[in-house]
Amino acid sequence: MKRPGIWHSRWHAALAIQRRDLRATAHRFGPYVTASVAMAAATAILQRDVRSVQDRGLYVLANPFAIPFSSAAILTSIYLAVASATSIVRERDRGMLETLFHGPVDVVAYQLGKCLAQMSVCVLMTTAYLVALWLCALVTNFAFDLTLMEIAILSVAITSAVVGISVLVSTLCRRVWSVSLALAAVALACLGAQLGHDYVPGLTKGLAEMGVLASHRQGLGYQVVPQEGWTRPERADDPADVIYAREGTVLYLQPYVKERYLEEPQSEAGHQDRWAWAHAWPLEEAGNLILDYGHQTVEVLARPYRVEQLPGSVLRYRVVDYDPVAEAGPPDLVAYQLFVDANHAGYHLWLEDPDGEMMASSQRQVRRVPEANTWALYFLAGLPLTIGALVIISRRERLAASRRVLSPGKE
Amino acid sequence: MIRTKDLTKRYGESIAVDALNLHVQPGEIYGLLGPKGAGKTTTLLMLLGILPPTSGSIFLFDFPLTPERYFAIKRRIGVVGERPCFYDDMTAQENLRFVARLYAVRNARERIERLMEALKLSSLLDVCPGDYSPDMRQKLAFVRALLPDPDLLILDEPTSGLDPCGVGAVRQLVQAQNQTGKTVLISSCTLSDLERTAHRVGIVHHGRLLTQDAVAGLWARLASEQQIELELAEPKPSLLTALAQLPSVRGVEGLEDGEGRRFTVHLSGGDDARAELSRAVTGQGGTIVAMQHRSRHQEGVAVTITEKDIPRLTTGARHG
Repeated sequence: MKRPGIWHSRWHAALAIQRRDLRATAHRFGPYVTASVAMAAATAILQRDVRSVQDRGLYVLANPFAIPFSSAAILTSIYLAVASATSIVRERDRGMLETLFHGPVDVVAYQLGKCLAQMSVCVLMTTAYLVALWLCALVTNFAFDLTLMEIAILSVAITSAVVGISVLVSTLCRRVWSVSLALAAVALACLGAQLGHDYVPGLTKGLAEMGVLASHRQGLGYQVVPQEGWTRPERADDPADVIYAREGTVLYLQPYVKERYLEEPQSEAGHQDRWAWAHAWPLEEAGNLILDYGHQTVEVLARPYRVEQLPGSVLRYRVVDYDPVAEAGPPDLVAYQLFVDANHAGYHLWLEDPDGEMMASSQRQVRRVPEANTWALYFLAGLPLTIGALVIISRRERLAASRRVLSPGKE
Repeated sequence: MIRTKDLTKRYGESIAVDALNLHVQPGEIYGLLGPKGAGKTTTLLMLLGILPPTSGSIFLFDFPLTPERYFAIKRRIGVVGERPCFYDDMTAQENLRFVARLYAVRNARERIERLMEALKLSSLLDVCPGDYSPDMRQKLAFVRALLPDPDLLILDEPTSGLDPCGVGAVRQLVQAQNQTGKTVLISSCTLSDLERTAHRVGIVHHGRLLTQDAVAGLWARLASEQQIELELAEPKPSLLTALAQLPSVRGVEGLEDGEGRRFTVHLSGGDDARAELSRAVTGQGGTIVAMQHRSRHQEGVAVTITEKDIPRLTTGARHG
């Protein structure tokens, strides 16, 4: 009979180790607590965004789930790094490592098995986060798009790298506490490097708007103003930006020309692939704004409006129709008026040029954020902890029942 | 089955295993006997491919232990370590199922149940090994080692920490496995572990294989060894020195549970030296509270080999 190859044997051993570690992980509190904390953190960030929409009536976000998901993924990778390293050190301390090597396991198979186990846990937790965020999307009507899947795949890859480093660190450390210290040192070093790299955020935009930098490309952006209560306009610079608005809000869109600049021109390394958009000048020659509800399209004309200050201690403004006969001066703004009504969850829009052609980079999406009790989202965060408690308690009860065989007299 | 050629392991300047030439025949129970630190465990770790040898070669099942053959060879070996380790957060059954997967054992469930039944552990399948007694853990370690139905069993101090009943059970188990055609290599520092089980015993000391012989031959050489357990009222250092200097005394060592008053006196001759010891103690102004004569070879008593036994064990022996 043909002897299996060394890599086939290693893979077989690694899968056995992975399965054992997965089973052991399922019976520990760590992953459930981590998942709950991570989901609570993600929910807190989401809740903040929903509140922003509710309070201000308007919020422009490119991917509202990116930061909540990334926060959860970072917490997960920290947990998995510590879990994998301490598991190896514990196995070595307790002699299990040597016992494993008595059998058909070598160092490569062992480390592969450990990494596979942690990656499997990572994939499971990531899937749970995605499901939870999808449910959040149903409640909040925040856009849940494919970009998040890309981020998820990337986060699994990054976590794998982090676990790999932690496995390496664990081979160099003899005790659990020294592993934790070493991992903390690695994490701090990475954080320091990141902070050192991201210097002077926002500088480019400022320089661009002052005309100091040369632009590489022009595009179209929108300044978005709610009808009431605004003090600062929002900008939807990128086609990926989604305009989230409270139900019943009236919005005014002012298109403008934007210019693209290198995000870090002051960096000697260049970063040729990183760009930033900056507001340039208002777009004056534009046609109609088209709203696409899916089953029908509506054309909106640009109209003049006047801004009046609301009386009271709170400094607020209101956009009102401009009456060229009654008003003495010119209008305060010329904009496209949009309604965010309860009948539509959202719609797409784009701008046509005077010839009726769609203008490049003018597509945006408007989504209605309903009045919802976002505290209910924390129920999802509590779910992993509840499942974990059920799994662990039922296992402990089963083990306790089996243990009675050893001392049948004691009940 | 096992063949080593000039197998050597060095740690810097010190030599743990020194040009060891071991030859274990198929179907044989071979004992590696030697005091603690003789290099037995290091030898076993090299045989298992866990420690790389500094020089020399290893042949298992007539094949060199190369990385290409590592997994194929290891699947044919069952190991029971000195301190059986398990995943204590998993039940015995889960531990064994993991091993079954690792070794790709077919019909694992039936095999686990059969082995647990044979070792009277079947009622403990769903209990974590952490709740087992030392004897039970050792038995479970045997179940684990036998699960893949190995051709070679390697046992490192298999009776360490077991009570006499457990020692007897392990002995029976080893013999039963050998009768099914398995080759067994036992490493021990206790000669009685190998009594009635090992066909041949190799004496290892300072990493060298000094001699090989049947157990009966080794017992014959140890038979002249006599010991006297002595309890003194107020032992003084001068008194112990005087005892140690007696011509028939090889050494005096304190017993741990004697609160500093109980000693074992090792005698070099075969004669009963109690009268001589009494005279020496009273001559030094000491008082004997109790004195008991012991022979090394007593049924049911573990005889641990120390460095002092090596010259006696190797005198006039056949060299392997």
